[in-house]
Amino acid sequence: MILVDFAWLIPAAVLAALTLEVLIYIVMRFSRAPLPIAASQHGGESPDGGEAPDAHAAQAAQAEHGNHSTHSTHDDHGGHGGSTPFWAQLCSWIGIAGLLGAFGLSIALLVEFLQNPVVGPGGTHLLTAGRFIHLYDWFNFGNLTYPIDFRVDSLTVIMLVVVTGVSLLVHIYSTGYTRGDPGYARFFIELALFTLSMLILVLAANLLVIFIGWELVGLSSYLLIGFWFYHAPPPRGSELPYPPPAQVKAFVTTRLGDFGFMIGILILFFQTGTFNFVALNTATLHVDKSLITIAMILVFCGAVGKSAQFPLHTWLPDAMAGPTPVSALIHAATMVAAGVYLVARLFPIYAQAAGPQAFEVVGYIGAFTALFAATIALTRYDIKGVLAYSTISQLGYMFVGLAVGDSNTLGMYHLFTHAFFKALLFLGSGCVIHALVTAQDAHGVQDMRKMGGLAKFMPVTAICFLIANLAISGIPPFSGFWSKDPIIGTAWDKHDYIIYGMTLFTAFLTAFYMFRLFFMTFGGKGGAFGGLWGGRDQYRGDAHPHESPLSMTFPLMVLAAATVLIGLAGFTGLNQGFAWFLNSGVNVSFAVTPGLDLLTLFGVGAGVLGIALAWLMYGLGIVPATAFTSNPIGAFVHRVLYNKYYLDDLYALIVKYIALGLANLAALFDKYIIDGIVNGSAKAVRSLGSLTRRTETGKLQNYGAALFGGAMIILLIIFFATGAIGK
Amino acid sequence: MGVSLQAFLVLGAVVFCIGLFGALSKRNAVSILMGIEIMLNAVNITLVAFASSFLHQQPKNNPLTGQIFAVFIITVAAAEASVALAMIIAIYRRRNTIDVGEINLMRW
Repeated sequence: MILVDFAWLIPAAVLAALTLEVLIYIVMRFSRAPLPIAASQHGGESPDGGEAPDAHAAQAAQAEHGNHSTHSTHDDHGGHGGSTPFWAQLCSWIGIAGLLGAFGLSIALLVEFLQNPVVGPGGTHLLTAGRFIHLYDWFNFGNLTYPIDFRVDSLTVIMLVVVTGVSLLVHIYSTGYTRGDPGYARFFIELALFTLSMLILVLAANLLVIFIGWELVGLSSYLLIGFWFYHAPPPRGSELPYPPPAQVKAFVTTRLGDFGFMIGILILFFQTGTFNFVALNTATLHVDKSLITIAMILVFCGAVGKSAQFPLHTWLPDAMAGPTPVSALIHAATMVAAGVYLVARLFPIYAQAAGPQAFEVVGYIGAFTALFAATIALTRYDIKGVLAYSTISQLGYMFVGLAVGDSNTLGMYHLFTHAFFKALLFLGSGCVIHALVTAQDAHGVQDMRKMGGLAKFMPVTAICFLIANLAISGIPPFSGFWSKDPIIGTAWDKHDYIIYGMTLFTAFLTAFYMFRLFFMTFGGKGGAFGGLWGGRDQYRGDAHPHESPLSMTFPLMVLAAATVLIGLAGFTGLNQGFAWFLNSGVNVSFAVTPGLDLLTLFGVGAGVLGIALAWLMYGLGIVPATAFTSNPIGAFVHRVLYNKYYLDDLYALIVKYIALGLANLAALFDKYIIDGIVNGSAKAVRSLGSLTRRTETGKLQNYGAALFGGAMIILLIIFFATGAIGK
Repeated sequence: MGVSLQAFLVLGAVVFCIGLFGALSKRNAVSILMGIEIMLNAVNITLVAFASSFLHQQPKNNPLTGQIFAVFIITVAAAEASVALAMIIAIYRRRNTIDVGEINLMRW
């Protein structure tokens, strides 16, 4: 008996926590407190709702006001004020306990995998064989079975640790972040549901189960993005998204990709007759190569939707409408990683069964998205907006890593490191937003122009944020360096010079916009260390910033420690160990290990250049920020970038004219053709009835006449037929 | 045997049609009753005609079947006429009419 056979306990623990929370919620919520939506009915049009735009309108044409909804007098805002009842806190504790159990089990699984015991016949080791857990058969159809199976292998174990670990930290963080929110208990229920969906997704042994988890993740992200569905919409021209349309956008946009994913699954199934990953790896080798290529590109469409790659990336920045811990959990560490995980899971099919075109598509879309999102991130003023686009950009890196690598190690390692430092960045930005609650911005200021010098107020957050910033910029010895640099280097080694150029330039942009964010938020001209550590006089807003409670800084410290430790362990060969672990315990070398060579120098140099430029512009203030936008070309570029290449507007137009036009056509068809047939048949029957009811006179003599007349006609017919008369 | 079977059958058919016409077209209940009686008697004519014309051809059968049928029909018709007339008188007493067009109490 080995522990891995009980891997199903991990989702079961979360499911148990979820069930308990829902029970408590149903009993307590519907028996007592009024729903929060009742309080916000009159929140949107309060008198001071109209003031804020006027006050700031003079600043700039594209001024961002932050979320200035006027809920401060009500008890439906996050963070401050309001009280959290005991039962809601109980929900959060149950959630944390369930996650703690799941995380402990995941770590135990990791340890067991590292020990690598013999499990199978013929001395097969656990790392090589993985472990198959049959749960039950969903249904049998003819000689086909549709099984619900789990499979635990090294890839799954890594994802389990990442998902449960980040989710646990986000749970702890949320107890501080959403304290006082009327949806406190609901928040933890939705978090647990999300974690459960993600666990099902990563434990799946076949495409059927992964698709179930996939859609569950979509559903729970829909719920979490729209968690503040009752908030007032942000003012016109603001960068901030509005939760209700944002959640629908996330759901519908990812569904576009899911359509391709489903067709891809069906092609694979019809060609091979199996959903199972292991069986697919060999079965697809004997099928027409071009067909598999098409199927894998279609499957990648699903990953494009879920992992927010161009052109389906537009939902992710809008998904920042959700509470910040949600952004950390869903949109940095786990949900968007689902697409990367899917491609990594199907890596053998991509690499062997499909033609090279499949990975070319993956690589070029990834590289383009990385560059594309990075350029948009340059112009954001919304602190979470920058992070959202940087997430899209980093996901692009992961796909590049999968496409150019010899195994799925490159992409998965970047996913692994990125999960920690991106969660750290999001949670750090959550601390900032949490600290900047004013009367006007009851949900916290998100506009970086109203920040600055915060490092003096919240040093722990600033230090953690700086560590994550260095990691994402690819500066050694932090974790991002060990995962990002090999991706760029491998692209060069594989002679994909276009991808190399794009990713290298993106590395420069990434470092620049991340440090732009840091200087605008925590530092500023005149601060210590050349503006890195801003002074009190640098703060441009009117809130009273303060360090967050321990429940919020503790996860930050843990994540920062993970980022540093993973980075330091890189010197001792952690990435080699990762490659060994992920590749069935075979000794393979990490494709390109960062070393003291020219490639690494370029990679790190791009990051250092980006940091230096950001320092010059925002830290030291030597180069004014308007230097690039003052000339007409720069202004045009800035306008295009600030408007996200007008893609959102383009999609809005497409939806407005093409999609809604088609919908109207369909509605007309439904109204006149479908309803016409139904109503027409009813009308025909009715008019026929009104005709024939005239014959029902009720007079016996009429009936008699009809009877005898009919008998006569029948007789005549018989006579004619038998030839008795008429011949 | 100067008169052929055909002549009797034609007579029966004609009388039946006269009776049918009377029963279907008259509005007076007594006239309808009379039409029905005529139809019954037309059937009697055909029955008796068939019975006498097939008398020799089927010696084994009871030669009087047709006639006995006719006698039965006359008896039943008499009973029916008495019942119908009683009903008509009862209706007339209550509603002061025997026009079938106005006796429509049970019409839908």
